[in-house]
Amino acid sequence: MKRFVIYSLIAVLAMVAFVAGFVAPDVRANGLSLEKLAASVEMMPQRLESISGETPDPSSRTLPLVETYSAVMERLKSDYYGTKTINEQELTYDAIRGTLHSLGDPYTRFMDPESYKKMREENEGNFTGIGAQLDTNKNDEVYIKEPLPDTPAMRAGVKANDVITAVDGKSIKGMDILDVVKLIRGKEGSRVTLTLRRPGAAKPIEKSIVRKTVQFQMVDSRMADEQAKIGYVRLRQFNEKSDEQFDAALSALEKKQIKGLIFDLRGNPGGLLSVAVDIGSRFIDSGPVVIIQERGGQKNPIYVEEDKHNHKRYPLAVLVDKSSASASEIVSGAVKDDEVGTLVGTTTFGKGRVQTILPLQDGSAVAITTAKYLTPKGVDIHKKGIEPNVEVEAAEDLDPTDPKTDNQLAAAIEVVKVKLGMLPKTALDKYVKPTQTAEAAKPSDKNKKTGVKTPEK
Amino acid sequence: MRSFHKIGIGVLIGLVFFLGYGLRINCDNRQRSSAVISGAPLGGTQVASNRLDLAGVDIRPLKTLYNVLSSLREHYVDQLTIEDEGKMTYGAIKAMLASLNDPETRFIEPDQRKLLAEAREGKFHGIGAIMSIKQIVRPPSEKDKNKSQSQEDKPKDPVSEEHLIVVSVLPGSPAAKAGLKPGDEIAAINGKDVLPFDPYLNVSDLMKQDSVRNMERPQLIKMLDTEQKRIEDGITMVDAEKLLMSDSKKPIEIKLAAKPPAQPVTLTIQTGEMTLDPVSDVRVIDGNIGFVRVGFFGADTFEKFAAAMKEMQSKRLKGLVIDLRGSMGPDVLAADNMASWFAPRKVMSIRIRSRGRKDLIRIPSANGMPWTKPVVMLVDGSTAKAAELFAASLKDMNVAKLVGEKTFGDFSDTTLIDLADGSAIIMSSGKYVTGAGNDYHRKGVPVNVEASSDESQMKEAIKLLSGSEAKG
Repeated sequence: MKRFVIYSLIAVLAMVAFVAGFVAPDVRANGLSLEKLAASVEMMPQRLESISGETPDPSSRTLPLVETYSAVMERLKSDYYGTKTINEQELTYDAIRGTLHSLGDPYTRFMDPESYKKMREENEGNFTGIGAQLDTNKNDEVYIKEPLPDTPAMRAGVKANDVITAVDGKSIKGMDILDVVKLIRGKEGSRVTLTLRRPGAAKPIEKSIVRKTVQFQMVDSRMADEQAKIGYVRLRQFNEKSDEQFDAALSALEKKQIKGLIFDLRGNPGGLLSVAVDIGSRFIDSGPVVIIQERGGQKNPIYVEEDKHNHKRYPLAVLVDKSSASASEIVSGAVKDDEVGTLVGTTTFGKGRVQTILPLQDGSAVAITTAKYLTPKGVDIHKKGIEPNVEVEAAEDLDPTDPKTDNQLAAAIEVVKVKLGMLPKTALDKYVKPTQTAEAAKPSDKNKKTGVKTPEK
Repeated sequence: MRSFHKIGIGVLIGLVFFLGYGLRINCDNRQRSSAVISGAPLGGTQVASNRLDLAGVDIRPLKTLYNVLSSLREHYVDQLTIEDEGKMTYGAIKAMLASLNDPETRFIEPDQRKLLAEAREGKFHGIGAIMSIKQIVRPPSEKDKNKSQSQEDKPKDPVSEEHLIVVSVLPGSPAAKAGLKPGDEIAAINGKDVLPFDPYLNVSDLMKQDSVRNMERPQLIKMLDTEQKRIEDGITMVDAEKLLMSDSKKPIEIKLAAKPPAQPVTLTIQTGEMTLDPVSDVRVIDGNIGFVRVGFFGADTFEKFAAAMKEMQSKRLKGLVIDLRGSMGPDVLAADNMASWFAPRKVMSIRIRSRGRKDLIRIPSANGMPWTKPVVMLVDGSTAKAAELFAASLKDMNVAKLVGEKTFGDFSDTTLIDLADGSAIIMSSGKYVTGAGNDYHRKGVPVNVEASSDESQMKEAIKLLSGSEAKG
């Protein structure tokens, strides 16, 4: 859920997700427990009798996990003395986190019931609420940035720039925006009353709204270049609604007679594998979109779904960056391997592992890395990422909400224009790194000197 | 999903094993004070004969952990090795104990466990300083204050940040030679920042500041990147401990936290090995005052102290100075026994334990002739643990007067539990108050006469023992 709220929120909050979510996608959630594992150099704190007897002979035998856990838990329950009482569930959750963390795979992780619920919500692509994007203004007030089309908020007449002053009659002054979101959300069919201050209105406005299931908006689309008729679709995440929304967005662009397409996967952290195959199938004609390799090494290709071939093919550029991960890399890897489009941007994140979610009885769940995936050509991109065809670093002042500042998008437009024959090929020369040409030049120089012929390409 | 049914059955059978196991351990503990948890293999046959009452036992956490382990064994992308299984156990126990956020409750790996045993003999490794992790509660930020007012949420635990503080510097150690002082905070080792338990504390704090929230995006990214790098390049307290206790003989560069207005200081300290003499400097001062330094409360401290007392009692002395400055050590039992010269059969201390349990700890009968002349103890801010309890109890009984500075304030009782593979856990298991009922834990024991320099401390001690008010 976090990511969805965040994109509609202030840039700062988005940056928190950026740091936690991108630089170390899961390290934080798991890392916490490990980092807590500090021990002091304080070495002598026990009463004599507790260590009477000899130091045990350290054997090479490994301690059995569940038995040791159980024994330690019993001791803590009977004799631990501290400010905190022993919360068995909390301790177990941390024990599980520690267990998974010790495997050294950041994607094998534990989700407590709350985070698992959020994850399911994310994957389903729905939430129950009123369907409005909220933001914080300069005075730290929470306001309606935009009521989403065809939602309870829109139908109730909630307008952009309405400031929320109370939820169900309770003032929200000074409250964090995420907590306001929590108050507004609720069970489907229940009512929430918002007290709004509308600019220009003398009295506060009260709106009683029935909560409904609202889809997260996964897709942004528009014309990237009106004249050249190049369409633009951005996908935020791969969830159960992504393919449907992508299909709709592309159909809408087709009505505007697009000739070329830019598909933006920058900042897309991934999502469901099946949806990656759906979306990949929309660009790939035949063969596998991705190859899954489970323990033991057996390779299982997943082939394109031909029922996704309901659109024309367009000259395609796919925008990627270092936070395009997982499902994003499946799609961009397939596009690159099958040469159906040009990747523009920077090298992708490099997550080539598939997790399976195993729900546990108490509402928590573990995500376990159960397979590797390979691109159609059989490449494992894990920890390497996928290099773009046209490398363009994001400009220092790139603001994702303002296309005018987006130099990577500008490059993608040029790439598509070249494909459409609207620009000469040389228009892209400026994106070739000077160091690369220098390196490319060197060996041929050497070859000349030594008289070795390089085969012509 | 089918595999899950299988797991379900496995769990129920497994549970019976584990419960039986846990109970057995409990019984063992009731019989013996020594608490050794062995990882003996589970016998399937004993399950049938053991009838267990499952009522009231919360089996859910155990079940959850068991399921996770089974799933990993069955589905993880790589086949788990014996090493993986061992690492997982360590990982689980470490994280479980870390969950308590208590520096005194922690897992100890086998190599550290050996050092611990040697420390009881007074043998130290590393730079020769005793460290402590101090938790300092952070004041809530403005945003948090608003939050708690406007929400009915249960109040969150106060956020605390851990600091690595020097408690005591062993005399003659490399640390002492380099000029490390008690109270110094170690901010970085070999250029790596020492991280608190939650290394992201700083980031989340920064994000709450309006000045940071309103920063331009590129600037913000830069700042967060810097912070991320600092954390990635940092050193956890576990690793800091290992370095400071290492025998590598390599010099370690230690950066101390700045004490404003002074600039942060960087010291280079050699590591090595040293043995501390528990009882030293036994002599007569000022003509007829005995002087005994007890630098460490360990395995043979009592024996050596007994020899020193014998020597003192053979002389005609009008008083005794026991020097406990910088002294500490785990051996509370040594302190109990040593007190028998001064207050035989009195209550030395009360150990407060969980669930309202209390143990009276009585001083044994006199070991020969009791000492009847006045006693002064020299203490300072690094007098801790057993030394501190010794001083506090005898002060409360009006047997001794304390000269110097307020003591450190660690009256915690911890229990060491050995595990079968040579690792161990240390657990907070209580705290001591003096026989008079005074609780000095985290407060320190106030002195009778304050004096900060060595010279003035000696002078005050002699004055007390020579004056008429110092009758024992």
